Amino acid sequence: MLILLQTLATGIVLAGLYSLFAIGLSLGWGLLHTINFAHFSFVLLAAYVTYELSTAAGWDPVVTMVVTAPIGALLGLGLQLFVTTFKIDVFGTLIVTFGLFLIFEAAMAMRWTADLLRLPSEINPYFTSAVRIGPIRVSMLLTIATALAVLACVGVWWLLKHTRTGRGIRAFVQEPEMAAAFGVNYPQLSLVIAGIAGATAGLTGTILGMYLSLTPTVVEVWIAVVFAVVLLGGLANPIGVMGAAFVIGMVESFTRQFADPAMARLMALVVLIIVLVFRPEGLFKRLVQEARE
Amino acid sequence: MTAARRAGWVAMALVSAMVLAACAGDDAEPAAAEDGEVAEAPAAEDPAEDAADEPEGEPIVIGGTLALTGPFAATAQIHEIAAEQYVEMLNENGGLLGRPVEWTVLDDESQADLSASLYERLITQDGVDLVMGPYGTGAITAAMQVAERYGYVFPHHTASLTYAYTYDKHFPTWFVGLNTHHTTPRKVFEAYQTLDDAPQSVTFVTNRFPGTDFLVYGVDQGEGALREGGGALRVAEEMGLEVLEDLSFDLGTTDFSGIAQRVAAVDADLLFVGGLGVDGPNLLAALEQLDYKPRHQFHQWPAPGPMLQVGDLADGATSVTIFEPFEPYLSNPGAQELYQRFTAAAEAAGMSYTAPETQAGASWAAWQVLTAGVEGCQCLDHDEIAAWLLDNTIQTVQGEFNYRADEQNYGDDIQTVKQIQDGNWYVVWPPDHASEGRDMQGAG
Repeated sequence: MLILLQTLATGIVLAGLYSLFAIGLSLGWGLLHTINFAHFSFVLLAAYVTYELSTAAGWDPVVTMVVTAPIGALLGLGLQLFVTTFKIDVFGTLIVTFGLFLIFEAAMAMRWTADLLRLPSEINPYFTSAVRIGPIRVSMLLTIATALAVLACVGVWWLLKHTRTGRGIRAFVQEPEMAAAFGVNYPQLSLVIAGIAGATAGLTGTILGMYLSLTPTVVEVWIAVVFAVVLLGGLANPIGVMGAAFVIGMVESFTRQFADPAMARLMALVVLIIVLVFRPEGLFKRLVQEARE
Repeated sequence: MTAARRAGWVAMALVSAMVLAACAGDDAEPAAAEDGEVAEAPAAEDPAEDAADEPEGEPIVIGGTLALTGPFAATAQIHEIAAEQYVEMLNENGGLLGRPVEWTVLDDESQADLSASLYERLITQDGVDLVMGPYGTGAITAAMQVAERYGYVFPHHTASLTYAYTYDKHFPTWFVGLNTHHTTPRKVFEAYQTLDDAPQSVTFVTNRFPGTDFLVYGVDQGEGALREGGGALRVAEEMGLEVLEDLSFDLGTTDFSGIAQRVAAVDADLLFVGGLGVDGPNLLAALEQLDYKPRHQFHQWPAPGPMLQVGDLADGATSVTIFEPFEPYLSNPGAQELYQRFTAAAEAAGMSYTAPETQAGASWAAWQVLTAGVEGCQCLDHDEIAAWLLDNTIQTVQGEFNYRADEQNYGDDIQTVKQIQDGNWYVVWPPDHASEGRDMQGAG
């Protein structure tokens, strides 16, 4: 029973990290029609900023979020302005942001080299710390990520559902002409979403900066699972993102605990393929529809 | 299908392509000696040590690729620095055959197929005189086929699948022996057997990377000089250790929580991590979150810096090595030059771990082997270079290489066991190679 609970807890916090990583991508794709491959670069840049501020300036790595979130937001805003200005369509954003991804990778390799950079344990106690709930222990870092993910997802859900900004954006996504006729200023509202998406990238970066050894390509191993969460959860649906991350986190956690750990990621992707075949709108179609109404 | 969904499939295709674009490793082998007869090879001494005239004439061009970008760039950077420093040293000391040496390195982007096509270009279009192997098992395996097609001598530093290389002019310098799946684990377990609290049980945690898979699980069938069986798991059982758990994980795994729970649950005396890079530190962090520290721990190919950066968690951890920046290695030919030049260059490049160790030692030795062969035969003929290398003992920073043709150009396994003590790595086994005042330490 204890093992079962421990596995469940591990799956939940893993899902938290996946949600935090995926929410920005999902928002951009669903509401801004931007498939932002550069989201991964924003995350990695934030991770390097955390590394730099912690090692060179002696900041507590968690505190660096006050810098990385705004940096992420600014990057998101900049990209959205670019996309809007040049009227790039959804396919075009994929190509453009993939190009940006490669440029960022090269630039980070020039700045920080291809070397492995890890925050020393004395300034990053979070890496090895655990949160204890009775006999259950989960990673402190992943718990922080989960808290941030819940804040971000619930916050975005509330914004979309209960604010004028959110209603305006949703209206524009469904009926652009009609919404414009009613005075919805989409370019302006879209910047809000882009900023939020970018900020979540910044927060994710700080977590990964504490979690991983950094190299300019380290973020690539996350691409598959993050896209899986986005597609499973349904676009622009923060609650769906959390649900999808929960499914993937659980599949991975239970596979690692009770089966061959090497199959964990594969099992998660198999789930994605099955869902895409049988439920192409994602696992949470009803939630997506509700969120859009 | 809506535009957004079409874009979704395009995105998934892109993601899939990126996920598939990965793989490499680390290891090497030795070449053949006729009838066991070997002759000393004075030319294997670094040419740098014999201050010579300025090199003259047409440069000798040595071509190769390295993973200057992509997932393997972090380690390939070590080989780039080692190569630059070696060639610079060579030219400062008279060059090769009295001619200047030019090193042409191309970026294979961590992709084996690209590496192969670039070697094809280097040989057929650029007409390089010699080649140096790329970094990593995948790229080396692919590029070796090109070298074989054109009959080029192919020194390489980091190929882990010893059994897979049958080309008669390949010269590995990760000098672990053809049957490393037997010799490496045996050496490690023998070191542990010397302890008062020698482990009686072991848990394996293995990365599915081909090189680590080979070393932990061995091979089912032998062929030629390759012995069947082997692998740390079987060797452990043969040596009386009880295997309590055998776990594997895929390349790129970042979350080790579930694996850590299983490791802690069985609580074996020895944790054998058949991993590479930062697998070890990540697993140790997950174990620490469970308040569990293995009594003894071995890591196959850890990135040396990150292991030290996790502090006490890795104290007492062991690994295998072929070169470390202290005695007795520093007395080997060329080791002082490697140490001084590499450390300075790595510092200038802003690397986090600047001491030359296994990777740099393998790289430097590959250049020593190539230049020894050229100087030995006083020629650029690949058949003659290969013949010379097979007939002579090569002095390198790792020690003596005797390439044996009857063992697919591998030789003895000359690895040693190193251990983290007092926050640094030290060689502890075998005793005649141990760092001064150091020996294998047990738990606690």
